[in-house]
Amino acid sequence: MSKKQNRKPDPRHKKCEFCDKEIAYIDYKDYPTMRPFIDYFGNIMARYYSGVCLKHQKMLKNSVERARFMGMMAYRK
Amino acid sequence: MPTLDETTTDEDLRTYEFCVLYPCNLSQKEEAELLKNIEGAFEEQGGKQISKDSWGKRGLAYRIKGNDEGNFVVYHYALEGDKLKELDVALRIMPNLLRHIIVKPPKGYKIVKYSETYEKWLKEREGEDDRKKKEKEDKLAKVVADKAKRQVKRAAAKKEEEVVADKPKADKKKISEQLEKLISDDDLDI
Repeated sequence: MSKKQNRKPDPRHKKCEFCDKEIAYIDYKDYPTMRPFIDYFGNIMARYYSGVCLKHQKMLKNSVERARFMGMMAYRK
Repeated sequence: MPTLDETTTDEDLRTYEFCVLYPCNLSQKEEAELLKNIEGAFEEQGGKQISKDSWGKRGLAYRIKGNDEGNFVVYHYALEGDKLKELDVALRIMPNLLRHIIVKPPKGYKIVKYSETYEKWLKEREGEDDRKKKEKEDKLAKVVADKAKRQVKRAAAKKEEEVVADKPKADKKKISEQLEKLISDDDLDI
């Protein structure tokens, strides 16, 4: 029984957070929304782990790259 | 064959977003001049200002031309699309400008002033950090208390065991003494 409780949730069964909130556009100036999808080293998290759908992952990539260019976000920590 | 109408109408005007970054060690005069130059460049291309949002001094994620901090200003202008290239060139050669970006927001984009939302988020985050710290401390205190309780319990159990273990030892001594007595008794006839 204890084994079942300790088991990690399957990363494949996550839902896209942006789809849940019905977000049509991810702003590059909106750091708080992008932050959960960036790891410690400043890389964008893979879809497999974050559960973001392809459409929103592409949007996220665009906005993160814009934020990086403007110096709002680090390329590499 | 359909022909292209080259006259511009109001529908050709679209909202474009411009974000500029300049160093924060500029003097007030230089700063005012720079902003004037930027706004002048927009107006030269026939842009109508919709909004201006200056974020103020912000730390940069990495050093840009020796600057660790900079000032961000976000403009929204209604412009014709074909003027963007010239604007880009004008911004690129402007002195004292570290970075600029031109973004075409999607249709129906609501302009949000991120200078305010960011400050709000920072405050919320501080509150959240405090809460998390408190939770962590509470958790640690609970763990320590549990450990102490367990230690007390264990000590009590050990004591009991010792008491139990001591009892038969005493009995053994007594038994051996009695046995010796019995053995040493001369009246005994076995």
